[in-house]
Formats: sequence, C-alpha cells, structure tokens
Amino acid sequence: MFGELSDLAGSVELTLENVESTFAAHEVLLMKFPSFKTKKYAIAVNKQLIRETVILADGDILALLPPFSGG
Amino acid sequence: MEEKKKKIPKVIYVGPVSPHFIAESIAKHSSKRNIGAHTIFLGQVRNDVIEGKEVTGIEYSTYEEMAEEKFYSIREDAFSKYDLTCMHIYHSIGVVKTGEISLFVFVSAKHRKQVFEACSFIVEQIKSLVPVWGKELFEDGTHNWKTNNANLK
Repeated sequence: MFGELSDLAGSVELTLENVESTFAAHEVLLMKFPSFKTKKYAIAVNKQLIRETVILADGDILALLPPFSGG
Repeated sequence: MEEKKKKIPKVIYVGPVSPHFIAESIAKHSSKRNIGAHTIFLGQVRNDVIEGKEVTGIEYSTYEEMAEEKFYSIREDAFSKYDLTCMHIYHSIGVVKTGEISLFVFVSAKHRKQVFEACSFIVEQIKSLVPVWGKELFEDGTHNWKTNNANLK
C-alpha cells in the first residue's frame, strides 16, 4: 500500500492468506480498511498494472497504487 | 543504439538534487564533442497554499522496484523515438523543501529540435507512469497528499 492508502491503513505491508484472486484479495482489504472504498487507486501484481481480476499464486506481490504525484 | 542500452542508471535519488550536482553533470558533457544541444528540466517544490496553509516541503515516497522499471522503459522509449546522444534522469525521494529541486531531466543530442521534444515527452511520461507519491508538508506538522493535474489513469 502506498501514498495515502498507507496512511489510512496505518501500515505499508501485510500478508494475506488463502486468497486465490486479486478480486478476493481486494475484498479482504476493503473489509480490513473500509476507508479505501472512497479512494481512487490502481492495482499492480508483481509490478504490472492489472485491469481485470488475476489469479494469484503464493508469493505474488499485490500493490495498491493511488494516483501518482511525482515530479 | 546498442551502446546506449548497456547501462541501467538508477534514477531514485535520496533528498533534493543540488545545484552543484547539476552543474557538475553539465561540465561532464564537455568531453562529448558530438553534442550540439542540451535541454534541462528542473522540477522545483512550490509553496502552494492549501486551505490557508503554506506548503513547506514535499516528502516523496515510491514503489522503488516498479519505479526504476518505469524509468528504464521511459528512457528506452525516448531513445527509440528521438535521435539522442545521452539522457540522465534523477528523481528525489524523502523530504525536499520548497525552492529545492526534486526532478532533474537532462537530454542531449546533436540538434535542438530533438532535445526539446524528448525532454517534454520524458517529463510527461514520468508524471503519468511512475509510481511516486508526494506528501505536501505544512509548518504545523499536518500534511496533504498531492495530486498531479494531468493524465491520471
């Protein structure tokens, strides 16, 4: 979790068990952090942005990326 | 072209980019006699006023592994689109105070047209594709998460 989301969650990293897809993982995160529902962000799996649900394997790294504001 | 692909320079730079570092980068290019034009873009932290509070600095954070990959692909794209001699990009992470430099893009080629276009392309790509986040810091210890104006997906 990055940017504002790490603020809201109070942490940067966590491990999720028994989630077979990005959809399932996202549902778990929304349960844990309901405030994410009002936020805008993209999801990346192993550094690749995804547009649709992806099946997850052990060790995959899911990242929630709020709108970028570099530069 | 092959020669340009060998190096994978690191872009993420801790703290502000100093004017001294920029001057040294320029000086180093005097030995590259085939260059006829440079452009430099410097992103400077601005003292925006948000809800009556003035920004004193920006704390940048990043998803470093992904950011370095994005910087590398922007670099490759720029080299394939434009006829460039060399290119350097540095982006700060950590706290950069207002008036200090957080982004340094330095593009060199034989002729001016290429460098103007390439520099603009690179800066726009960085703003829209690289996972970096800026947290605007206020004097009273509070903060606001910055949003860039254009090209948010």
